[in-house]
Amino acid sequence: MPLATYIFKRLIIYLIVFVVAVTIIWALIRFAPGDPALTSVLRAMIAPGVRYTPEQIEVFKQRAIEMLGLNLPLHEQYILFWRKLLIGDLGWSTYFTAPVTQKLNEIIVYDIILITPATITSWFLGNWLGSLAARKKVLDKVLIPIIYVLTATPYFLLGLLMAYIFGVVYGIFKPVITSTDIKMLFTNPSLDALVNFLKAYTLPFLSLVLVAMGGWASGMRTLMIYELESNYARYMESIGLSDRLIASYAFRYAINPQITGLGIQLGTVIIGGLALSGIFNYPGAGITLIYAINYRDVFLIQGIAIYYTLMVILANFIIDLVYILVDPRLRLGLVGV
Amino acid sequence: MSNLTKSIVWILIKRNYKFWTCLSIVLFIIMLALLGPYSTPYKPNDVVTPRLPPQSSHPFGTDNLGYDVFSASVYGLRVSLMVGFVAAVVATTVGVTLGLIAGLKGGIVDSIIDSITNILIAIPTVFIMIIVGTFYVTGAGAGTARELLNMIFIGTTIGLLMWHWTARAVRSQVIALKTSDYVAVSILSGNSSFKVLIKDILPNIASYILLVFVIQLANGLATSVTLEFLGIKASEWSLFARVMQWLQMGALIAHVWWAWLIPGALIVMLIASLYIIVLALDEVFNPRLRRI
Repeated sequence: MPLATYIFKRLIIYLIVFVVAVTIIWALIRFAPGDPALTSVLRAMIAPGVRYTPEQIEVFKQRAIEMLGLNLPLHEQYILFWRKLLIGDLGWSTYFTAPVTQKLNEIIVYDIILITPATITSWFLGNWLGSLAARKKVLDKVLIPIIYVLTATPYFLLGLLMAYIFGVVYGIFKPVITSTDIKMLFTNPSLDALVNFLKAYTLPFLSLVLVAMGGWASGMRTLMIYELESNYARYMESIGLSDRLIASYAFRYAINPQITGLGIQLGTVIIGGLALSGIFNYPGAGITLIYAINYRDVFLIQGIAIYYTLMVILANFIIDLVYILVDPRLRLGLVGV
Repeated sequence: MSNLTKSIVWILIKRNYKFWTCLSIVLFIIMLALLGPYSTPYKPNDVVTPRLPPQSSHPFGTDNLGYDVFSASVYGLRVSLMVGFVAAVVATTVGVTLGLIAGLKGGIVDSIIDSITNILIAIPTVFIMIIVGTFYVTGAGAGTARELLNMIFIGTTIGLLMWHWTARAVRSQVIALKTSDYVAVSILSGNSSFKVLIKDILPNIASYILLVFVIQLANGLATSVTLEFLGIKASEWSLFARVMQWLQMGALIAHVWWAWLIPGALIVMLIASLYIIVLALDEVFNPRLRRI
């Protein structure tokens, strides 16, 4: 299959996945008991502390129903939802008292700044450690328990531990971040701003890298052990090639599933990142999501879900492109996947 | 499995110290969740003096809000374990059934299941759990039927969003077995496909299904505690439901580390032990990894 067809096919698949995901999100909220969308709009309309007569409430309710289009037939409601989504209207957040899209556009940048470098760093570090552990028996004995405990640690718990040890007990970094710590570096760059940024950024970054690394390392270790026991590796060994060289060949095979694995694991990493940034009060979507859940801010939750779904799907597509670069069989169009 | 393989498995398991250590940790924590509530006079919503360090009357201390951490942990463990367990059971049941069908029948059924799997992999399913958890679950008191219902509901939601791992694993095993000679013999001798499935295929992948179940249990637990932290909880005293509250009250600054570190260590020990049990069992069941 030519390369262009392959890429085009992947694009279509991801488009379908996005439509399905958004449809699920829409349906879950539309059919939720107690109609949270209606409640949310009503809450935004009604001024607090003012007593209304039941008739007035009824008027508000009618207006809210019309605004949301709940009086339309179901399929028109669905089309209306897509039409609004495509022009970037995701509703009104009662928590921020602002449009969801406007707020999320601000917030999501901070998440990208945190999650992207952390994911890439942990992937490289984890794969390197895992392949090393597969080759060196002594290292393996030490690393296995560490790797497994790290994988087993929910992100937010490691975040708590790091915040306590390095933020409170030793006081090297900031345990609680304010959004100015992060913003300053970009609006008003100076040495002070950089120091402040690093003090705030290091802990969430390190925790995210550490937990995610465990998964990559344990996966890579297993893959390398299988590769090193395969026939070609035994053959290379028997004709006297060095361990290093054999490992470099095995690594080329073992790395492929890890690249696809990156796309598969992204969902876990993202939710981990959200929980973790909640611990540090990092100005991303994490803390926002926690408040949105507490306030039952339906449009904000829906907005975050759609933004992140789009981000994960885009990332998956980029990973597919990287995979083409790494795997010569795909690049040369030798196999039809 | 022949008797010889059985005895080899037993010999290997007997001397695998990793397996026994981790199994006892898992059993200890399960016992703690089952029997713990009977050994403490405090209910998880009883308020006593806040910020007491661990001592004889409060073995795990008390937290920022004045709750006894030991009773909060044992009651919370019940909730989290139940949610994780339900998730694993649902994921395994659905996953094994669909994996068997996809592997045996192939064709259009296989492609449908494959497409669902691909969608579930490509989207962050946790947001579906969050939406369901926020808008479909209502609060409940301790020990009420409502609480149990919430646990089953959240567990089932998690399970229905992670069965595809099991299905994929089972499907590939079934396809490998389907083309083997002894299955061909069994089909040729006139056995129905249901009988082939029950008598020839299932017994051979049973140990594999067990491993996948344990992995799913660990994943279900990890997901359920993360959801608890984010505010999706089956009960008011889910294990980590209060962490966010403590943080806002400055529990870190006030050095009340026992309130989150002890339950945290319990859950990490539990999940890590489950992973290592899988690793140990894999060394036993998988001939390629056996070190005799």
